[in-house]
Amino acid sequence: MAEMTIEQIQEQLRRGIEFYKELDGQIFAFMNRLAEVLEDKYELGRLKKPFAKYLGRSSAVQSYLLLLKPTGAEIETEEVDDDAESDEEEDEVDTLDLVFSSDAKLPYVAVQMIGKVPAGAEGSATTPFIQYGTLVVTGRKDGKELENPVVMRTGYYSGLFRNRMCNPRSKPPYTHKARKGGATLIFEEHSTTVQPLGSIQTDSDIEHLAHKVAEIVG
Amino acid sequence: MFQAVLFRKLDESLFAKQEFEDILTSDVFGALKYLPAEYLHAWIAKLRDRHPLLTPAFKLAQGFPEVEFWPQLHAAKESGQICEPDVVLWWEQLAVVIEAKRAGNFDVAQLQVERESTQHAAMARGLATPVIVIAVGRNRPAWWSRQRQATKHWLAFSTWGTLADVFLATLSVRQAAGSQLQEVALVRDLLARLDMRDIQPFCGFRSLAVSRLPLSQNGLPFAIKRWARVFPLRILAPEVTVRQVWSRTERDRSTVAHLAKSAPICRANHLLASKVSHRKSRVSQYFQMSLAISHPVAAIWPLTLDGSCSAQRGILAWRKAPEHSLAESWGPIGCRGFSIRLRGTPTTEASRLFWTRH
Repeated sequence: MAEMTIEQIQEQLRRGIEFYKELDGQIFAFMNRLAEVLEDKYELGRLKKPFAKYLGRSSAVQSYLLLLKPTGAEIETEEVDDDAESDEEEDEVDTLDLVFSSDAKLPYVAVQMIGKVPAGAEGSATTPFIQYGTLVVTGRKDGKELENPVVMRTGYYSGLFRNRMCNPRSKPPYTHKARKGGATLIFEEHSTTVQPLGSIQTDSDIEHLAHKVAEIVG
Repeated sequence: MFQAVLFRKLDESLFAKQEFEDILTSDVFGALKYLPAEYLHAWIAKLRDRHPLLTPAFKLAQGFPEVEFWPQLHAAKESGQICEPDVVLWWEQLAVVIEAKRAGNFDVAQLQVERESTQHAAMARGLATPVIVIAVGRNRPAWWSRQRQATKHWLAFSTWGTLADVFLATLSVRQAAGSQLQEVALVRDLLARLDMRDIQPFCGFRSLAVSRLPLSQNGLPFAIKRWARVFPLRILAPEVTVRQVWSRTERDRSTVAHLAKSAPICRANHLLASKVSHRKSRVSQYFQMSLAISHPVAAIWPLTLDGSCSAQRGILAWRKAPEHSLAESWGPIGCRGFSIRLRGTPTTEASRLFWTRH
């Protein structure tokens, strides 16, 4: 039987670390390229840079998210000092109000490293997979009619998706308090499509995916 | 400068932000100046495809342009000021102004002035060329969508990552056709340089399960090792072979269950070791490692398991023999020794990988 020294095992684990470091970087590279194509060719603005979220002890789910601007949405911008150099510039968006009509679709693209493919999703995939689609606001938790337009903090939008993507046990309808003092909104899945992450191999695959995302959002 | 930074002889953090930005510009566009025209054309083609309104203008980029770094141009307006774009590419029928930023802090007024000044300079040269400005940064500025209507006829955007994609893809094509070693070395170093700044080309996910990293070259920074053999890109999948599966006694299991509960189950890229237990043994210095890897990760990190354990869980055990070798045969039950338990899957940070001896 071949033997393996402790040093060899440590080396293997270090290589494992490099493997995940590489994978992490590649997922971010992929999502950034996708966002770039969506912005350039389809004029779909993103709300913030793609980000990853992990919920910690109780879950092994890891999701990478790209949140796009809802159809017909406006962001109530504050003056940003363009000279202030910061890599976190886009995170400023988190604190701004997002205004959209009550029938708007809230688009997203996610890479799920671990988790079940959602029921009713178009396409088939094993993990890890890409999930993209839209959510819609279907009502208010207090039963009152939706205001038109709906106003919510962009940070809550992130929070909603983090909760939804990172906690597969959470069941729709997803609720989230739209903004301080505002009504708690009820969200439902409007459309969901999945495909294996391994199907993205070249730039043209990203272009193709961007086209499909744009079709759904549009 | 390039090699000094690459091999960490020169500490980049000592530079001011502006200088740092200029170094990156110099590295990337300086390389474009010396590389064959295919690299520049591949980048322009990508931008042309992504910016439909600029396609006719980009089509005028034929041949290799004159590359001018930090030219001092007189402002078109009578303000008497001088503007200094980072790079200007002069084709016969097109001028492209490149404004590079580390992040996305572009100023639309500055870009507009640079465009007008370049237009002015082109006229002074007797050229009536359209001028396109390409903003190169990590992300778009906050004003991008607000100003898009006014800027979409002259302003394009590219991330550093897209440039890295172009370098890798073009090199792959040229390597297949037999490119020069010097060219491979230059692009390899450039990719390593970008990697150090966390700018990576996109390589696809096809090879995650089966591919391997290039052979390591001890002593070189990780980024350089990674791009040591640029093409084909190889990603490492760790080869952990579980050679021995240990069946614990019921009594031991309860101990392990308790520890499993208290041990943090970390993010997929955290790796922790925690004490399991001391077991009575006549043979000392036995080590044990329990691997619990969630299914999807196991799918991309294939574990070879001996024995009757599942594909996701196994125990790697070895004896710290004098020669540090795995025990060929051993009897863990009733043994006293050392154990290491690992929960979760490896971390992205090497510093988080540690081994404790109990």
